[in-house]
Amino acid sequence: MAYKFKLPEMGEGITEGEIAAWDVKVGDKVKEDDVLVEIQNDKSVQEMPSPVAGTIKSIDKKEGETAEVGDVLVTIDDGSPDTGDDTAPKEAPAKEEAAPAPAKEEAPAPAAAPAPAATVTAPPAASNPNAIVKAMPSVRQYARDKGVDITAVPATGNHGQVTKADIDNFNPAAAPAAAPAEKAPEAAPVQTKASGQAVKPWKSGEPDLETREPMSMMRKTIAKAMRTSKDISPHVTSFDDVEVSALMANRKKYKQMAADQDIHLTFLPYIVKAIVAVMKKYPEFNASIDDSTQEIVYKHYYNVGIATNTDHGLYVPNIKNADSKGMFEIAKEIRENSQAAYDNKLKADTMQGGSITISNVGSIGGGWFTPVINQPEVAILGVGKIAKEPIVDEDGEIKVGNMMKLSLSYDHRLIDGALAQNALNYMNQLLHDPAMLLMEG
Amino acid sequence: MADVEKKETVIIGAGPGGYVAAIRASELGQKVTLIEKSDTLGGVCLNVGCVPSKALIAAGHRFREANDASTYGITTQPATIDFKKTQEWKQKKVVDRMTNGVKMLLNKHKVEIIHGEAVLDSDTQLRVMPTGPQQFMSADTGTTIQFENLIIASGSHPVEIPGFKFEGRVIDSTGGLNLPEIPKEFVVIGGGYVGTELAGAYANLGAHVTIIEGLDSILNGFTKDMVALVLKQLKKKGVDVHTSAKAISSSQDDNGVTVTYEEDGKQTTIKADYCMVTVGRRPNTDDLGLEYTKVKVNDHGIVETDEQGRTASPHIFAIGDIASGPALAHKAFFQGKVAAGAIAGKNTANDYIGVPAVCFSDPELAVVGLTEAQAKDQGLEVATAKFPFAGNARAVSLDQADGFVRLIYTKDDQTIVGGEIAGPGASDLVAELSLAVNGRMNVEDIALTIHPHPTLSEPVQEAADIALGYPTHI
Repeated sequence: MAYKFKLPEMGEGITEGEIAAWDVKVGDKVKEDDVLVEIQNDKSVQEMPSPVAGTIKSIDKKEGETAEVGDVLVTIDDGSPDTGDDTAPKEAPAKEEAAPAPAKEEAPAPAAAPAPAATVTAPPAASNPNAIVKAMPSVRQYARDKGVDITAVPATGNHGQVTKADIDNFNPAAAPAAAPAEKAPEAAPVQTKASGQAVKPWKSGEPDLETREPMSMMRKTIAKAMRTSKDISPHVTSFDDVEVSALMANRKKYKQMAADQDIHLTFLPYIVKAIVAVMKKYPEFNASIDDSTQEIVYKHYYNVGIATNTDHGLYVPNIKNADSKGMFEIAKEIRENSQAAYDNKLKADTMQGGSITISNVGSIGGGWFTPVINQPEVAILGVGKIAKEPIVDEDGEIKVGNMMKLSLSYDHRLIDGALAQNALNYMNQLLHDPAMLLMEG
Repeated sequence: MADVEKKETVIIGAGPGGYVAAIRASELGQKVTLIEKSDTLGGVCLNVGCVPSKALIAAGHRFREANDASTYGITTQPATIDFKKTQEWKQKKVVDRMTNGVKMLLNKHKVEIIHGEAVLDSDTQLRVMPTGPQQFMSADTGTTIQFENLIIASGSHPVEIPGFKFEGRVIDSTGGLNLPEIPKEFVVIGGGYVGTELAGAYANLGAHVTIIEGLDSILNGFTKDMVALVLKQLKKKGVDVHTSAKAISSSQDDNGVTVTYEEDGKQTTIKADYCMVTVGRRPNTDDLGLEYTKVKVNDHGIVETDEQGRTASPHIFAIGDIASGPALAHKAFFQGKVAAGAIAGKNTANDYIGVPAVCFSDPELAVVGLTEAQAKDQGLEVATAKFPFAGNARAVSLDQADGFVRLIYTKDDQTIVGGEIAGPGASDLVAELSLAVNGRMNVEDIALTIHPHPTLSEPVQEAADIALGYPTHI
């Protein structure tokens, strides 16, 4: 029978993904767990293993196409007899139609397939007028009262029933194109989950002088992440600058040694080391808040994220256990992560479990700015350019200083202003005097 | 020109749709005026439809049982029936009681009742004419009412066919319910719900009945194996059923009516006491003055509405037999509540998934949702599970073990999309299947619900067990 592999749920809030690459073609034989396809979603690329063995019959989505959770991606002929039920997950009871005898055969459950294909609850395709929306009459009424198109709501109830909670949790913005307006003389206003307020359509008086294009998935993801962060955390940003002549000299001294090992030594590894030292001294900077339990979660690992800009979006891969890595090793890893980001090959786990984030705009000439915290972290360090500026030294002489601009945004729920300034002062000391980094870092 | 009265919510027709809409609108805070052209409330259903026919059917069963209880070891003198008393009971103890009940409910909800015929002048105004000979009316006869909202629930009327004008011994269903005597020879043209129900009732009361049906089966629309059970019982009662037969003409004298019909190219005549024609009903939308409004009516006389029953004129609603969906009282109830809610600004909708339909034949037939064939036509992959009443202790103890319960459900996740019941108590049992279909429940939900024993409800659970592959009593 033909097994239809559908895009499974990939985690919280992810409703769609882009086909990054096919690892199989029609006619290929695949074993269970062979990688079928790479899916680009919400900033990461996930490999989708095959839950069954068989021959690729058809590929139903092209590379570059966007698939929604539940969409059929590939059809695999797994050689089993055709029951006429070609989408049935393997572990569904194999039942004879209205069998009068209790003889009943259960197919063995598939060996723990990594892809949770069997638990997918696909949102019903609203384009099919005969698609069954499973909901009690009271839930359908509830959806109408909330102005939610129930055909677009992913179901979490038993046997795919849409529950009242599903209606409450439904975010229409996250399920684009799931619900074509059947008859919408006045388009139903989109409701946002966070505020419950209707999103008003925006129109200017000059539509002819404007073009409209749909937001890309990446842009939608960024927009959502930024807004969510600002909603969650009261941001305060402290600015400072630090004289880094000694740091520059140190880098100059070891740059060639690094290059000999094929390592590009930038200022970033120093900043990573310095920020690890700051987190060790001020553990509030390596923490998250669990609002559901009103707890502060202190992390005993030091994973430092580096915001990486590419032409297809912004990524924050992190350097795992930066506290136990040497400067060159960190430099090398930053380079590798950045390359992976450019090549669209970043793995999801590289972007998860961060402690704090560094956002460097200095390399393209930026100064101070107010970076937005990468949730669920509680601080982000913005690094600006190093500018030659007149400074007054300890002897009261005016000299030319090399001033690095630092902007530290922090979550004011957890980090008080004085604490932040103390941390920033300490950061300054470390970057001003790289020898101290060797002691503390 | 008479004075213009201003009203908030006006409803035309006090049948099931209209009176329920009136009550609901009142409950939702509206001032309601109900216009009814006949002297009694309740419409066809309560006066000359569902309710009196159930009374006659019940009387037929009692008479048959009184004459034939030998199965239980009971023998009696041949029972006799005073049909005048039967009709008196049906009218006074059943119909009058129910219609007076409606009046009481409407009074309780402070609904203003006006008797007369409503004719629309425009999208905001109508005239109520006294019922009676039109020639005594002038241009300013009647009361003019301006309304803020209008619900039209004008119902439907029986269709006549050529050669069978309703007069004398050629009667419609109303006449069929109100016969002064039990006919010896009774011809029923049209073997739909109404025709088959009354044919069975009069056969139980002792009449020799002939059904003439134009299509190839009576009770067209019900699945064949359900119809077969009814045909078997009709045959037992001595009813002659002629299908693919065409009623040609009728002639009558003082003693009876002669009916000519054609079957297999051959014409036959039957001499009968009465000939009842029940070939369908047409919506009452021709004489409402709808042409003076924006309301759109299709070729079948059905008013076009949106999901709330709203017509092209946004403050005018249409419900019941003149609106889309089956012409059944309970559908009209639902649409009446939806329309009243819509006027009150609520997000009501006629989003029902299945409307149950019942035929009070022997045995009773009841369905809801999709048949297997309809589901397949819609592209659904479905399976069915059927449990016979022969495996049910209660049905056997009632000596009514003919029939079955069938569930129609999707193959992939066993969502129940339809249900069919033929057998004792089907009309009541279908309520559970309606809950399942309209709640998008699955066979496991039914299988895991305890049904009382020993009752006729058990086959529903048994059918669900069959669907799951674990049948018990079969």
